[in-house]
Amino acid sequence: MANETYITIPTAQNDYFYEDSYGSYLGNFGIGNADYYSGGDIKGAIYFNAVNVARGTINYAGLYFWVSTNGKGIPDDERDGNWSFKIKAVDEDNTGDFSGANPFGRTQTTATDSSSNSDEPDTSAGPTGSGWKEISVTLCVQEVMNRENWESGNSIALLLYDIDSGCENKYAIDNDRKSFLLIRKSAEPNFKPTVSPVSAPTFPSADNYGIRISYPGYDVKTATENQLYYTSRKRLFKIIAQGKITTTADTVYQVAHGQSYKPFAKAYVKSPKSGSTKRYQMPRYLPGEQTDPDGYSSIDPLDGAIAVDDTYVKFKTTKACEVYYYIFIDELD
Amino acid sequence: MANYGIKISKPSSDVKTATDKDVIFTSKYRSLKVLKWGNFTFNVPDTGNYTHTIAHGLSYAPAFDVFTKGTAAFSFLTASTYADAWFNVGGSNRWFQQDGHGGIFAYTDSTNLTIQSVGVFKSTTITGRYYIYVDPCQEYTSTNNYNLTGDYGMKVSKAGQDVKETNKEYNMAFSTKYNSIQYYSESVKEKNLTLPILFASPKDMTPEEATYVDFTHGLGYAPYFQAFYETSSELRQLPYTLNKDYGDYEYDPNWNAFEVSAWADATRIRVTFWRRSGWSWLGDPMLNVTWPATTINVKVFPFAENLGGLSG
Repeated sequence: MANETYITIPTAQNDYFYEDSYGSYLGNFGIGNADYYSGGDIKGAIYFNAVNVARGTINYAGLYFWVSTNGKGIPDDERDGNWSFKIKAVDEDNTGDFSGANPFGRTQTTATDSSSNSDEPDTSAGPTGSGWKEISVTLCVQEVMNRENWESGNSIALLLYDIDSGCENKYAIDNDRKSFLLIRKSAEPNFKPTVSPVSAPTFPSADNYGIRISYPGYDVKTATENQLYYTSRKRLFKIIAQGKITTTADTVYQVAHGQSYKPFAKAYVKSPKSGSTKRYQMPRYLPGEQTDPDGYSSIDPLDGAIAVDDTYVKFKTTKACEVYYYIFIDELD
Repeated sequence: MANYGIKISKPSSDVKTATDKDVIFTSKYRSLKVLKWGNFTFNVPDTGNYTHTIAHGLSYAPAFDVFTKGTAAFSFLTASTYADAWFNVGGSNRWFQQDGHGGIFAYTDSTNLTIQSVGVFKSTTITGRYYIYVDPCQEYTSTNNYNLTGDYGMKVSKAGQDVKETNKEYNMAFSTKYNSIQYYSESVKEKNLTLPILFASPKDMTPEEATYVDFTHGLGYAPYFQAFYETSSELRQLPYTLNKDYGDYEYDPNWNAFEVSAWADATRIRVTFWRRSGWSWLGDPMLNVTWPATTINVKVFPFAENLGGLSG
């Protein structure tokens, strides 16, 4: 089932802010400890403009930022210890960016998320590969989205307070790997059906006329239906055309069937492997990692599909192949 | 066509005016004629590789059908399992061994019908049913052919062929020498199946969805069957599978993501419509295999032939 998520990424310099013991800095973002000399904790803030999520309950919100050694992350040998910090959101309906004032002076949510993690990236991948930290900010984002006047398209600011992290300053404003906020509106289960069966048919009565041909050794007058080669009580597909075609790989080959409805067709594809005489039935699909008797695998498969419309019987194979077909007059519509 | 031959119409339908497609039998058109049929069983060794051959005695590769029997199980949909279920050979079916892998191959050449396990079913007993037709699945015009030995019964040759020419059995339109795969028109049923929109996300990396319908066939045994699904423009024969992968840089050979397939047992023919989506952080924009809400019409032809019935 579809579990809709929304991702928003800061777009402007005024979307980032941090402060340490030296001062505050608009247009930059950091978390963790400040440098070796000041030793102070960093408070970072990040602003997400126009969050298109409706008011109400969310299932999850996560803040992602880049912490790997390339980009703006800090090399491994300069890291020391784990992160430990708490996160709050600005408790406003539609907060502004950080150009006007220090965001830490704004009203903050009661709800607080926190994170105490290794300084290594999460193993889960993020954009452009692994190297990201994912921190749940569900509680504080939820509090904002519960506000009576929250509307889709409003903005959110997150405030990150370091709690004596042993891990040095980490920036997350690399142009190629900008921090982002992911919001999952709901967690719906994978779709499964409510099934209603189609009832059994009523078969025609076994009238005492017509043609019956029994298996050799069975009395045609007493043979059961399963002991008959043929009976006019049932239908038989009737061939109106048969022939050979040569397909081009991944190209639909059409054979006009001359009817104004969709008839039944049957086809067999000859393996194009040099020296092979194998003829497989269509449709044929080679799934998974297995290999077929001629060595074709799912990476380089010999697959074949068959379909009909009101004008054509259509064959499509993944390789140029000889296909032998039968077209029947019997209608599939 | 000249006005001769045999024609049998449906009850209460005038045989003199019934259209060709609506008659039960007409000697104007040929039918597939079953030369040899029966059940097979073989044990696959630890290697997973085994080749089982059935000589057909023809000098060309004949048309054929092969079904395998097993337990149908698809835990995503239900904890129930269904013993003695029959599957078409050659395509993907998520109920077969629960992983969608066919693993069993069938093919003919001018000597044998071959049923082959390639590396998948290790230390497993494979059972199934085969039908070999006298009708070829290749171009063939030679007289080096199966001969009619029982010179009795009814034979109808195709137009332009001498019905007495017994060394071209494949030119017969109909012959009482051969078995027929027949069906009741009343058995043909159809129904819509609908799946809602499906897309993945960073929190749901590989969501799935599936629905199915059971066509109760009323035969009391597992029948030979054909199944189809209909798009807005065409009918596709099952099993039908479609791949969508994340992109060239993250190809996953297991990423079969769309399947319509069927199996049969003594009660039902179950047609399943299954899809899977996938999320990848790679690429720009990030990749999300998305399926729109879709309704398909599925149709089954349960034939009267018993897949566990008599051999011949």
